[in-house]
Amino acid sequence: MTSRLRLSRGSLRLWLLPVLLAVLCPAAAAQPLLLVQSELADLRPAEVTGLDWNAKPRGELPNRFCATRPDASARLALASQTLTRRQRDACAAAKGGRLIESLIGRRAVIAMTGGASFGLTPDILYRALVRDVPGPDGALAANRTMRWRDLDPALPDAPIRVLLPPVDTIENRIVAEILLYEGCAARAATVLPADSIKRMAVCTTVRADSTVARASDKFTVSAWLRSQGGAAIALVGVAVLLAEPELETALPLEGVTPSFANIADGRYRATLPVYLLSVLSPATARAVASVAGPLLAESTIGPLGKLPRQGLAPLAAADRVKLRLNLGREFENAAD
Amino acid sequence: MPPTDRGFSVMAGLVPAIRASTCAAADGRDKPGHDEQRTVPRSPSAVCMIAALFVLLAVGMLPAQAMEPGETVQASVRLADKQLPLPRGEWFVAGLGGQALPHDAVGPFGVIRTAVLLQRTGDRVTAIAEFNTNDIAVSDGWEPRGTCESVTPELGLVRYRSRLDFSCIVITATQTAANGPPAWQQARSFIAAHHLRIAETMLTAAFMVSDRQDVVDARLHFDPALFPEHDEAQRILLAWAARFAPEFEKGMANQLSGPPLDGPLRAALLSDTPALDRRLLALETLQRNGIITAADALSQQQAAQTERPRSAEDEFGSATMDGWFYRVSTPLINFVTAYGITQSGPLAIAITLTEQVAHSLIQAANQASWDRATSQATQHNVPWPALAHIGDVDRLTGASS
Repeated sequence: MTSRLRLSRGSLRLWLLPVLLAVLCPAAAAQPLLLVQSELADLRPAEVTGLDWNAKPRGELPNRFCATRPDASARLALASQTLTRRQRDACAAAKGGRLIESLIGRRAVIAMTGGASFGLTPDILYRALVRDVPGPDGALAANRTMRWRDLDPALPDAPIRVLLPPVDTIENRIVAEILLYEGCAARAATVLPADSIKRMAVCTTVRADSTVARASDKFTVSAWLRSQGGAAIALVGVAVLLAEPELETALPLEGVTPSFANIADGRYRATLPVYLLSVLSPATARAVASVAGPLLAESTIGPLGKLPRQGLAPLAAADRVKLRLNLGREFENAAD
Repeated sequence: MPPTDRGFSVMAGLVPAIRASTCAAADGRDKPGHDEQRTVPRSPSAVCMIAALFVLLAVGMLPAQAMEPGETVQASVRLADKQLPLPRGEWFVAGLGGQALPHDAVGPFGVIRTAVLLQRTGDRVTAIAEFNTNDIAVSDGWEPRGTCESVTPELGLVRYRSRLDFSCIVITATQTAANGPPAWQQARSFIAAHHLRIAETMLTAAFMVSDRQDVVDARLHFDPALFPEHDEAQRILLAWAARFAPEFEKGMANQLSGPPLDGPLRAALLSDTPALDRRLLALETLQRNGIITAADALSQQQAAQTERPRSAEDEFGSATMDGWFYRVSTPLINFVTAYGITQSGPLAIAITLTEQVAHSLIQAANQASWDRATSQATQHNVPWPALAHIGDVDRLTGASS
């Protein structure tokens, strides 16, 4: 406090300037806020500067996005789902402008192998990976299956070895909620608990034996696959795929190859969408555009851009161009 | 990177450097004004001579360029003074040789050089590269490869076919147990000696490219066990081959540079439009640097989506439709015009028929004349060599390396 009192008149004026600006033009003074679902926090592009980047848990994000005055500073969000109808109706931020929900890419899990190709299904993955599965009597029992051939005669006669994504990633959620839970719901529906949380736990708790391993910074996926034999598989995201050129052979899921085209158009199912949510109004259009422009640039979301290296599966080229074109028009209309 | 590869990279860098130099403008490839200075024929300056001497010395100091059996290479290899591209990864040179061709098929190209390279994972051969190319350049082009004539759109693509150059791709299958050129016999001996496993049938992308001087007949064979089921595998391979084919053209001009392209499986995961992706990024960079406006960038990005290589083969399309429209509308217009002038139905019909018959005769004569001129113009002295390939059951060729 003493030091502040010693401020010269000139430096006092310097302190006052931003305060005056903030009072007179609140929207211009505050930095645009980009809320991001915590699981998508790894998508932060380094070149998008001048932005208040704030990671929030999935359940909390829609409320935080909406709980603001319509005249507040620009607010955007990156989320793996759009708002529900109820959330849209109650979204205060949206009342001051137009709510835009734009699909900008996907997060995907791809099963890579170092050996021959074979087909996977959620049912096979569930019975291979989950700790308790229905036994011959139908009741849940400890999973003791050790070879792929025991699950399906068409699969390789080799030990089950599966590398899973790190626990706190969105890829791990895709494995749990899309692959394992779906296989579980189809195979063990009659013996599952009624409580949804317990049911999710039963369906997605993976084995702790030698069949399952977790990805780590200590080894590369390619090295792990080489060390585990020809029928080992690694469930990886796009970032790992791009980082390791040795990864070549991807296994089809339910007969659908995880090709770029199949992931981009959603035919391949082990994916979650990534949406950019924003509210456009005359007051915020320029600030939103200043964030969304670099975020949606080809050098950010295109296959040769930065976000794929951080895990984003890009949209098809035509969709990327259309996305930029449509949002550009929205910004122009809102600013006018 | 092996020393030979380093040598290739240096060479690859030197060639465009020489071409880009104004000193080399006299070779006919430089365009006046390309460097914003008038290019006029002049005697080489001392600087140019020193630079040329330096380049020649640098080339002279390079290691041997021919690949050797047993060598491990990446990105590209050099065969008969041409670069031949390889998909990403390490490749092992397993067989080198020449092909003794039937004497009625031999042109003034010396011999056809053949190289067979293997890519493997553990003890399994996952891919084979089979390259054939002429040793001596000819001067009047090559007859187009007959294999491409009847290719269906699902199994191949004629990229272009002109008076002097030709490029086509065919997707097929290859029996590895069958015979082939001498280089393949060497590769089979290597596979047997090292107890490697190889699929009986491999998926093959065959590339046939020729220009005025040279011909490249390349086949890249892939282990089908790594691919999804049959139709999907063919689709993946054809889409990839269409993107890989331009690499052969660059290699024939010794202009291969940059990192190698991914193989078909990995490429299918990363993008289905890599050329378009690069174009979109380049347009964005131009816009960011203020060279083109945002509106221009956007309009060019939209235009870029419809610009893609198409088959040079005739397709049932707008040309055919235009032909039918023309054939129906012309007599109708003639009849209406004739009737308007003569006010007589029979006379108008007679005039229309006369015009139609005369027009048809002239058109037939014109077409025949064009066909004769075209067939004479596209006949070359050098037929496409009747090569032996891996999997050719009935053809055995003697070594002539």
